[in-house]
Amino acid sequence: MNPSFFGSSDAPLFGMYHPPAGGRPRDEGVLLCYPAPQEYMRTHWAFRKLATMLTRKGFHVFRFDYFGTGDSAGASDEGSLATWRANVATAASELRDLASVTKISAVGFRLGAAIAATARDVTFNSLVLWEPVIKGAAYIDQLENLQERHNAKILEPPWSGRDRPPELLGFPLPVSLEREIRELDLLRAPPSNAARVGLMVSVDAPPASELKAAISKCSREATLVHVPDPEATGGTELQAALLSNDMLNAITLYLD
Amino acid sequence: MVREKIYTFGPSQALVGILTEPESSAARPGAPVIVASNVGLNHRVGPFRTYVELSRRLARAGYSMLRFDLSGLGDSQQRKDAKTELERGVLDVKDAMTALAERNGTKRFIQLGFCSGVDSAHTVTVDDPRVAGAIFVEGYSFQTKEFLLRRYLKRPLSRRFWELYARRTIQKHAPQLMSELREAGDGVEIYTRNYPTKERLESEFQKVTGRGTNLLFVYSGGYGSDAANNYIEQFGDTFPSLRDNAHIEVEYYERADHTYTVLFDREKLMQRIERWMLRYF
Repeated sequence: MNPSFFGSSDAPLFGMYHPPAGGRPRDEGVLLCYPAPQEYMRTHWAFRKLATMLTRKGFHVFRFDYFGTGDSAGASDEGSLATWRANVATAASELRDLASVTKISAVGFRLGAAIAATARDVTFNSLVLWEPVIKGAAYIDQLENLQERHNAKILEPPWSGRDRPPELLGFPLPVSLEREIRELDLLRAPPSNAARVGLMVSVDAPPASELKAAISKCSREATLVHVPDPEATGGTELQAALLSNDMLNAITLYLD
Repeated sequence: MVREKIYTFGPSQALVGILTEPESSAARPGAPVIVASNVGLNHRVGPFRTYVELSRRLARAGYSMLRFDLSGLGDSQQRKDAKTELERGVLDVKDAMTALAERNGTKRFIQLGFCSGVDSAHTVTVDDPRVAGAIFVEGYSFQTKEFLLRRYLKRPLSRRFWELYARRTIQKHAPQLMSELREAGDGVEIYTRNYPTKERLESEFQKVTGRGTNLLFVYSGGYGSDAANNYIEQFGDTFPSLRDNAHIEVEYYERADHTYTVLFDREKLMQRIERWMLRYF
């Protein structure tokens, strides 16, 4: 593993490059796109494991923190979807330089899947949407429900109901970012930046099949893979680590 | 402005961290460097990115801070020259201090431990005289008579208590639901950690403050939930000989949970740490 800062010097991003560690090195790098930011902490371990699994298949792998998240520059209330989409393109360019590869693929988890799917100025060979956030408004509702469950357990909750300050599950959620996320709808704007798209979901529910149909309508190859793994989204815990071997195996198999 | 750089060290440079430093003009010559590692299994950024925000805040105040992953956690590789988790943690923290001393000329250190991270931070603070101060957030804590009185006699006067009591009674009979609702940081989990004895801790705190090391203890009340602390004098009641120790400060935030989830609470925690640093270093 080779850690580095990259991107502009006034707002450097943190990245971790994993060179191939088995098989014949491929002319392909895989960019891992974290969810951001409420589900980020739960994902770190799983992303490191996925990176190791992919390097054993000969892929170059790069995982990175968006602006205002993890070790990257920026305060936690300064991130925006527009910035994070631009970060994906910057990270893809960095991976291309680090690994000297011509092909770039991406794996995005939850909101990271939506960010990668709507990133501009980058073209992916394969794009894996892992438990993707398909409709941003529904995603915010899910996070709010988790927050309410957390509040319900304590004697004097900091706030009650949905009358909350601009924060959610321990992170700032500025009004502008919430608006961006709520407007997100992959069914209306399916990914058009990848030759093939793999949808990896633990629950075989309609939104995923609708997204597959929407992607196929745009003449893209779309595959829906159902991995019935109860740990696939990390359960309902606020800070529970994501442990999902079956899903990681399915993603590796799809990209191989 | 602050500067951040990748900091790899330890056996085969297998430990990974970020060193945050002030601009040269803002640096405090001779100030100790703060060293912090993982909180639980989270990686080095700390719960809700607390260590990133804290290190940048302290750098603006003139201090450097290293946040890093213990071996086997976050981005650091597992080390093979130690047996127990605590032994590994202590070796890792000492490797961090050695690297800072050799590469940056650092002579004094502040240990920052948060929850389970207190274990290695405390051990190194006791062992190594180069540690000029230590900050223990949600560290060792013991039940006192007053603690039990507050938990079991005073709280039932609240209507909200009975609402939660009914909820917990239902959960007791629904193991699956209970499992879903269980939260890291519950009082039960805190009390099942492998603690040093109260007597040993008291003696060790006396030893380190006796050589001039300053200590800050910060505890939360968990918004009235089953937190391990429920009043500010709990530390003094636990360790009476340390109550008037000039090298010890204790802070208690009634309205904060174990990982300082709420932004307002986290801001108060970071302000408190910065104030303590400015006072002593």
